[in-house]
Amino acid sequence: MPELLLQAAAGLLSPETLIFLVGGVIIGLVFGVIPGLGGTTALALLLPLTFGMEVMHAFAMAGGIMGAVAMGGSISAILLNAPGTAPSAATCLDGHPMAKQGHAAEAIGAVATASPLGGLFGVLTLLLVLPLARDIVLLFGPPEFFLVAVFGIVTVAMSASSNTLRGLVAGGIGLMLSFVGYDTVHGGVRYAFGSDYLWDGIPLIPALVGLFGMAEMIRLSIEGGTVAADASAVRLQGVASGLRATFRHWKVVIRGSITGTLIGAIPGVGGTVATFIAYSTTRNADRDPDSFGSGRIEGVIAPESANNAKDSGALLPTLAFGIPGSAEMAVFLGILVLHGMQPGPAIFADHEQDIYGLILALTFSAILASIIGLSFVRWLAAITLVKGEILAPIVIAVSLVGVFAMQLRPGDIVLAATLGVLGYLMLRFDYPRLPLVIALILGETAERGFQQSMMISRGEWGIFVHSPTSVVLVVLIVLSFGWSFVPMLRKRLAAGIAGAAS
Amino acid sequence: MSGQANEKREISYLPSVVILLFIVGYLVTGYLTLDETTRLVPLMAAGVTLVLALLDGFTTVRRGQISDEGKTSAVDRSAATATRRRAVLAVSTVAGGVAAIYLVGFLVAMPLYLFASITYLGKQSAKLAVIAALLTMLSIYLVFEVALSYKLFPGVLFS
Repeated sequence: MPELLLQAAAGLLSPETLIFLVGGVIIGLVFGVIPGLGGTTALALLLPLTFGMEVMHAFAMAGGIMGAVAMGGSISAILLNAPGTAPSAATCLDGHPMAKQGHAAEAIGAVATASPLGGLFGVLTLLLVLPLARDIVLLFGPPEFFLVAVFGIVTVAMSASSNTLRGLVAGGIGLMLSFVGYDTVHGGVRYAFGSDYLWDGIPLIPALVGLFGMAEMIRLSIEGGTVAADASAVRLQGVASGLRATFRHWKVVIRGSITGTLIGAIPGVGGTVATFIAYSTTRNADRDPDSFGSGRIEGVIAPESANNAKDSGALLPTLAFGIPGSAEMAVFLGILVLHGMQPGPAIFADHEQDIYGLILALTFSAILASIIGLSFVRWLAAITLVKGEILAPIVIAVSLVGVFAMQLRPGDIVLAATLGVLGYLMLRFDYPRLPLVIALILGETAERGFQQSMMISRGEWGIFVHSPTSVVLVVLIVLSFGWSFVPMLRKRLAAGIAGAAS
Repeated sequence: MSGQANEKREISYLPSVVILLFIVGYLVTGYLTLDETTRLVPLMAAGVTLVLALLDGFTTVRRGQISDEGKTSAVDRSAATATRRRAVLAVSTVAGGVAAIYLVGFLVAMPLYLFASITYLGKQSAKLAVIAALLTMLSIYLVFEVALSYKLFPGVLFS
């Protein structure tokens, strides 16, 4: 393996391949920054172009895009609260409040460090786990998929807001919305009201752009001012402190990276869930979870570590079984097939060096994206000083074009705007938006897992605790319910002690 | 009962009522239009959400009763009214922009939307609005139409 790895590194570092890698990184950064586009669009657009390329060049470009999109998406998440890519939505939670307080550069510095560290962790794990890939993926059947989905929804709902009940209500509404469209288990169309557009359900990207980006911009246009509440406090020199903070919070990096790699490897669950779960677990493990959402740097580091680590995790089922772990990987699968590489266990024997080249391209691209992204951070942070009255309509306009560009469906524009208004109302009336989004993503996985499990067991609920994996997942769900009451109990205990002392 | 208390109660109760109506509508529609196997999971989720929403409504009512005891001032009332008016205006501008895009497409509707938002809602100068609208549209055109070869939506009237 080390010899092949060295050969792959030598191939990747040749001047010609490096040009493709840098090109991929720049494209990834640009597509990541623009809300609504993202890595899937970039890869889909470039897929036909890679046909004439050498395999290594195509992998360098694809790896460059996948590694850099996360950084680009997080920059717009921090500066505009408009996640450029779906997994970057979790970075909005504390990244944007940091930008509002004038610490945009510090948050971006943390992204630039946590992102490649997470990527590196994911790659190392992938290299170690690759020989065991088949055994790991086979641990997950329908009951486990259902439980992973429930775990994702519950964890995020319990930790997304100080009002747990409203988090759960928002999660329930997200689940209900996820059932709109074609029923993949039994057939038939639900809640489409005769609209062809709703047959495919509620598409994720317009929903994310609406609920996060547009909602925040509507709020900004109502309240006025700049993204950074105090313009004089915007520090463009804070990048180094963001870098240092990431190393100081190394446990958060490791926790986020492990979450990203593990969740990324589960087909169909995807990176968005990984970043939100990384955020939630970090918040729950903290001594002061209520302070999350107000600009804690750990709230940026955790999802960012997961964001890049998840790509390596998602590669596992894509390469080993041809089951893409995410939409991005589904397009990447197309690139593999286009170059005559059939995914499956044999791919590791037939194209081992190319696979290592791809893995290394992912690593280098994350580092390159950080360097390139950081060199522009001062100019990017200045966006937070633009008047909201001017910035908000411009971002809304660009977001609507980006949303339309994804699938060229006018319905996406209407949906993004509708959910933008819904998101603003949720902001105004203090209903968390994250559980709604996470449930919208996981609804289909949860339903399919549940229905298939019921079919397999002929209606026996015991199937959800029949394997060690499912037992572990059930315990995690129960713990995440219990864990959310710990801060409340701590407060009551502290109040009781203070009362007794006085 | 004070004016601000009325304001707070209106703000607090409205979402709970809308959410409950939405869930009940979802349950009724599912029950009437879907067959037994297809509606099982959606109605289970809606049922659980209904219970949670009722609990949320109950706690909101309790919070509202507590806030009724608060004092208010004319300044607070007028600030709340102004914010509500701006919110209606902002949402209407976005809705108008989307309707215009649907009818006449991006290239015509976007500059108009940007100009209207920046001058009417943002109270900025017309000159600044024209510059911002033109630069944004030019960037969008160059990135999407020229560089990425996307065809921007021309609107139902021009397609």
